[in-house]
Amino acid sequence: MNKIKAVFLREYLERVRRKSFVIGLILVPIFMAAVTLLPAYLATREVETGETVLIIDESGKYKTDLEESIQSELSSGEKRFRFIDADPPEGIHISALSDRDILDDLMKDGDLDWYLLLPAGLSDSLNAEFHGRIVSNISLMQMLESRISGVLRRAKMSDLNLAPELYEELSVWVNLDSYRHAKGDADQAGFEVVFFSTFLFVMVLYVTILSFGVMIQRSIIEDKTQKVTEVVLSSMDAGQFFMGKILGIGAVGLTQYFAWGLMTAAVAFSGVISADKMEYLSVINPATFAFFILFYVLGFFLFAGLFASVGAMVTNDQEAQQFTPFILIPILMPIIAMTFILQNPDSGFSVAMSIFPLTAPLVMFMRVNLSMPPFWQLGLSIGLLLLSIWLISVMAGRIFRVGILMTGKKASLAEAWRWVKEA
Amino acid sequence: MIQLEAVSKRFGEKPAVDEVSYIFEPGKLTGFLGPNGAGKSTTIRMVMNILAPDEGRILSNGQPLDNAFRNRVGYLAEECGLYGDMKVIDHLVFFGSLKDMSRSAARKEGMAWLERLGLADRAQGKVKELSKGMQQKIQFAGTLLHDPDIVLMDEPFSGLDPVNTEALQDIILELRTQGKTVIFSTHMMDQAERLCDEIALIDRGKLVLSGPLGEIRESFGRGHLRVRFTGDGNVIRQDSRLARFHERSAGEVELQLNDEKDIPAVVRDWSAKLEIKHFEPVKPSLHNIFIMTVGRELPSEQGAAK
Repeated sequence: MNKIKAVFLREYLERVRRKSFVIGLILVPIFMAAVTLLPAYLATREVETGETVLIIDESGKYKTDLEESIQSELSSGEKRFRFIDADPPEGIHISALSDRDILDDLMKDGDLDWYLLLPAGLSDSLNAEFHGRIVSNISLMQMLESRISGVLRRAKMSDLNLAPELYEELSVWVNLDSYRHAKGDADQAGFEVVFFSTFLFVMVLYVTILSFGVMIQRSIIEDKTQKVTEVVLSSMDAGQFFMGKILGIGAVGLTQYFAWGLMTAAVAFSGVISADKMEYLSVINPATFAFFILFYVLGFFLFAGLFASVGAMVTNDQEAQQFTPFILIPILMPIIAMTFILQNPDSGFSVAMSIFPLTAPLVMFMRVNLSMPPFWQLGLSIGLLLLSIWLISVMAGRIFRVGILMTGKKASLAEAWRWVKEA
Repeated sequence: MIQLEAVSKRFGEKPAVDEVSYIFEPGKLTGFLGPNGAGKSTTIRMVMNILAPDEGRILSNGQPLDNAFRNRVGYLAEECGLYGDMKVIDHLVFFGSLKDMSRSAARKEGMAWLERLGLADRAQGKVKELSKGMQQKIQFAGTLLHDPDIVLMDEPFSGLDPVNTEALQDIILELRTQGKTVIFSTHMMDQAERLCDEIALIDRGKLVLSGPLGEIRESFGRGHLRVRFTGDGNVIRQDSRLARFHERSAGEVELQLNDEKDIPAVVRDWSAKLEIKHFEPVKPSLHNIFIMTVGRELPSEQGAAK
């Protein structure tokens, strides 16, 4: 036991004390936040520069109303849009659509940002055209669509001799709030919040199981080339060495999660995040965190054994790449199927994947996070995982015992199987 | 005392160690010699209980090798058997705790060894920042800090400068006076000659020569001749009175006769058929004993061609 502890402490302390570990601890959350929050933040930012625009209304009926309807003020107090006219005195002559080239030239020269074309004869539906140098500004598009609809609707109302005040009266806004029912009590959780948090957690789970598995594989390949392994093995059983190693590297992963958990809690209670954004943090509740740790531990040991076996069979990273696809496929499967599982967490396919041991750690975690599966499914999944971990560890331990002393030559799968049988 | 009883180990079809029997005794320094690939490492690994023999058995004081045995052994691996990224003192604590020492005891002993080896100021430095000689000293400390009864060292002096070699030789000689069983493998015959009480020479998996060094040299000294000649070397090579024969170069041989009383007779016989230029009874060096026993030069390794 002391000897396992000695190996455990060495593997653990040597890794945790490295500068790269501390840097990763800080940089990974910043990177995650940047990747997830920054695009959302930027997308909602208002344009802070004025634009020169042109509305070509072939019917001539809506232009003024529409210009009025979309105009707004920038924080500097200037108007957001400067409308130019198709007629003098702006010096632009556009006879209907005959001369698009002039508009194109204006946009190229930067004298015009975009123009809108409302064809004549529209009533129920309309295909208006937006021409601009940039057409990816979604919030501008949405704003224009709703304002054009509004202007047209008002116009129709006045055609039908309805009072303009009725417009507000007849407007109905429906907003769908979703509530998640899990463990008996309902908590409000918007779809995107559940999706976002599950996605984030699963990606973290996936990346860490993979990276720590590869770390074990590397570490074993490295040990094979180092004479110190013989010294270690002269002091202890290969199985003890193997166990100390895997536990040590696994504990590095756990340390990382607890550090991140503490950071999240610190951020949540410090009030740096505004109340509406707290919604995202509210799903990272203790239960989710506990299941996350549970499935990390199970997934880690399952794949650690597989990665360790490959490490013991080969002599370098290149050779390892011949075998790793067999391990990567079951890890990747849940990621590929994630969108489907997120939308259908209780379908037969999702249930099967959450029980099949090689895909269970990720898929069962997804399902637990989305809607609590029946207890027997959870129990069966964890039970099968434990059984598989035991089998794989026995197998990996036997391959390790022989492979760790083999240098200079890669073992074939048949040879590895013989080591497993003969031990 | 470590006892090998007809120990064999095969890898696939090829026997790596073939029915080796030997007793390593306490208070003695045994040189474990042999060319590369002879089965030295495999034998050492079996004695260290890393590999199990296919046949035969290995006993320590009459008992099978068990977990307690592992704590009484100190093993020094060939070349650098250290983790380069670890701090020197942490590494020694690691080695000690592998032998069931408490971490504090291991730290204390480790520091004492560093003091003794003149490396106390390097305790907090990283292993990889040390010179090769210093690293070897750290390995010595790691091998010995739990005060083992049985010490195995694989090429302990390879690549060391004379000053460091001297210092570490003194430590090994001290282990002998403490009554420990010391086994070290080497290809440096002059070193083995100076240090060893006994030698065990292994070739192609078989123990070909073993026993107290003095006796071996004595037996090889009798009837041991160096001869330079011109003519057909087969005259000598095919002589039935030869025990061993080694051709040093064209026209120069070292040989041993079965019976030293035959010396005058062979001189007479060979002179009749060859032109003998030089003829000299010699006391063979361990290097020559090795070559005559194995029947070939050592593969070009430094220090061997003395």
